Amino acid sequence: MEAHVTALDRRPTLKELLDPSTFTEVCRSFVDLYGIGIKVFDADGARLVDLRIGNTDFCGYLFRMPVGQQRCTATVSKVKSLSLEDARMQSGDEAIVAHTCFTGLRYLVMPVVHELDLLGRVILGPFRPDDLDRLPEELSSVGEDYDPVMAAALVKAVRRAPESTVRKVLDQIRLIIDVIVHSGYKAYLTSSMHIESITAAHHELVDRNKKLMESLEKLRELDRLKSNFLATVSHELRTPLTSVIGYSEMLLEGLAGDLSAEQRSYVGTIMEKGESLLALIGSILDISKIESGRIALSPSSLDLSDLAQTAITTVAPQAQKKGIRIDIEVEDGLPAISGDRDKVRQCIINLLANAVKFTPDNGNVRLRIDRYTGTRKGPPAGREDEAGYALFEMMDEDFVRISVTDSGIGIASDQREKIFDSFYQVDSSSTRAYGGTGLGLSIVKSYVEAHQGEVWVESAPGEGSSFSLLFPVNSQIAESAGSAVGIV
Amino acid sequence: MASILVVEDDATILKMEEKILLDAGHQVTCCRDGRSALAQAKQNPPDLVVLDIMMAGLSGFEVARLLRADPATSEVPVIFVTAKTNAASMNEGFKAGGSAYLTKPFSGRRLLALVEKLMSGQ
Repeated sequence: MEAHVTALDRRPTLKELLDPSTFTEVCRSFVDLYGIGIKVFDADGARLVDLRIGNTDFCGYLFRMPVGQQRCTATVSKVKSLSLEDARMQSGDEAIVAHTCFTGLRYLVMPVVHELDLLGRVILGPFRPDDLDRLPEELSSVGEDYDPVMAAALVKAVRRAPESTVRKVLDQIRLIIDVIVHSGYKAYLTSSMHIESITAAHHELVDRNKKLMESLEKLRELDRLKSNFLATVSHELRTPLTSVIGYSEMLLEGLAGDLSAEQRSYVGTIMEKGESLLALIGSILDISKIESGRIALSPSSLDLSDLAQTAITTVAPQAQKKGIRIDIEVEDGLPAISGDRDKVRQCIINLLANAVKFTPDNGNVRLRIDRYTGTRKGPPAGREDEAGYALFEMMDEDFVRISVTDSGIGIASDQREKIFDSFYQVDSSSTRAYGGTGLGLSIVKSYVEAHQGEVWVESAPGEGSSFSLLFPVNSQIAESAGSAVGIV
Repeated sequence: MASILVVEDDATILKMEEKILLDAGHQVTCCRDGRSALAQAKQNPPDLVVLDIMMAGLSGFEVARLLRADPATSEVPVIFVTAKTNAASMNEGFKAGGSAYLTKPFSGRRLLALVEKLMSGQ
């Protein structure tokens, strides 16, 4: 986590603790009541309150004269800056410092302290102390125009009070400031702690996001490496298999002379196993393409009945071996769908091969193709994040449905989603019992979804399973680049 | 009967291809790499070339392009025989001037059928 200055390390300024406009109103009531001006500064000398009394003509009179102006400025500057270090440690009346102006008028300065921190000062003045009987003689030095009679008349308008009374007034102000500062400080602390906790949470989230992004990047890189690796491996496996299958074929074709029946059977086995190995490599390559998002479709108008027949031919040998009957049922007048011939056929073959694999000897498998109108069970693949996808769930769509039903071992309900994951088989012992890579259904799901279709499975353990592929009737599958290839 | 130049860096597969083609009555010349194949083709232009793609040195694609560029061999049909099964490689094969694309493992019958088809087309 990055180091940062916490809000709690900072002391609030007086301005932050007082609401300046409200506080000014409080001060104004004192000014109106007692007729003495009030100034409040924070510890840095910034002025928070400056209330003068209207009848300070006396000061104005002196200020108009050059020396008077000079001395007046010096007085104001003095009360503003005089050290309150000693006063800070005092309490009550002891904390108040008096400063007498060159005219004999007086200011009282009181520190504003919170927990021994000097937050600022309150200046009450000028007032005319009751011990000031007459203006000092040397006041005449303020300027040539100075008129003692005039000055004596003007000074009468300045509030006259005993210093002890003014001190009491200042003490009242202090009580009010204490209350305000105390509650202000509490509020400040609360909001600081709030900010602090939000800041901490924010930093933590930023930190966590960064880590998540990093691991996402790492995973993406690993995924890319894995897909590349799979593509390379399956390519490299093809080269030796070329010889295994090719030489077996040559032997079977009699290129090395006639074979006995037993020899033919053995070579046939080598060739058959070589081909199943090849199919496996094909699946691995398919899945590596699917996982790296590179499914290329070459769409055309498909006659599903025809496709189903060729798919059945592919699995017929395995079915025959187990005495399994495959029934096919195709509804009349099916609409044509747009799709990739090889990939749709691969889907049907994979479902049939699974059905045959998991159906006990002499069982039966049924392939049914019909029209289906209904709603999807989930959003169309790749549109899960679209706003309003729920609307798709409510819309009836036309599909061509391909269902493969077997009388096999069935799938428990909690396994029904997982069987579409790559390399997943319901339990690992089934790999030994039934063989296979666990890639078949994952490929089916990806291909069907690439066609904007949907895969369902219904199953009763012990009785069998039924897989349905829904291909939308009206979808136009875009042709993928680079897919129009073949052998001349 | 055709004179066929077979280019393949895997000796076992090369021998297999040779045997299949010889047995069908063709005249076969074998090369293990692109350079010697080009020299052979220039010296003695074949009727057809069976060409692997992934080979050390010149790749099959490059060999095909060079054959096309040479007037002596520019018309000789090429059958790519390769373990590269992806669509992009097939496309590149056709762009390089290949007439057919056969993926490994391949059936001998399929190879012979392609040879016959290409030879009868001439």
